[in-house]
Amino acid sequence: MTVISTQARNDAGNAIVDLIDQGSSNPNGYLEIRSGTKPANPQTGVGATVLLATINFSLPAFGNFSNGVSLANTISDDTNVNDTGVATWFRIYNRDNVAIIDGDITVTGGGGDIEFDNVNFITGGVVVITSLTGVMPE
Amino acid sequence: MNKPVGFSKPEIKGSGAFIPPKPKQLDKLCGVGDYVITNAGYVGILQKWNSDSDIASILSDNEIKEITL
Repeated sequence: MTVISTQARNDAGNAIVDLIDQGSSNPNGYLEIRSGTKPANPQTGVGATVLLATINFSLPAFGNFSNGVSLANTISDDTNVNDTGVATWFRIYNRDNVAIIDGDITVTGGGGDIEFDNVNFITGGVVVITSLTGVMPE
Repeated sequence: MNKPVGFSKPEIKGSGAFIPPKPKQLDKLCGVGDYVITNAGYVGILQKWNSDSDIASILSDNEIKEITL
């Protein structure tokens, strides 16, 4: 099994999350929460999935990696959910609307990359990300 | 022959909360898709009005409930 050093973990992790800060069209990168089936990868369009909520990152989006871990800086709430539906996946974009990272959403305990206490979003509701961590394993 | 070397895959892990909006009192002015509360206390999304009647259907806790106004 290949094992990488802590320095390599930190540098690799920083290189990935720093992509979120790239661009100039928007003041910050952002995270979209959607219903439907997650596409195969971030290069694939969102298709017929429905946008439920948008969460804005700070600039920079994440702090520096330490021991292979980085915490997101302050994340804004979405105080007015766009549509009613079941949140199933998320996509993180850079400031120029380029997709960087996709992940799964489940209810708490379901094993998703982001877990919500309630995935049944309703128009007009509020979405809060309470924690978001980047991890680069050994 | 060279053997490919695989590296670990980065992960994003997080948690969050959804706070629903305050539901509207169910009445004939409500439209499909509105988040409503009935006099009996059922809370959910208005699915449909049954035509020319005072019966509405709402989805509550993944269950359709018919409500007579």
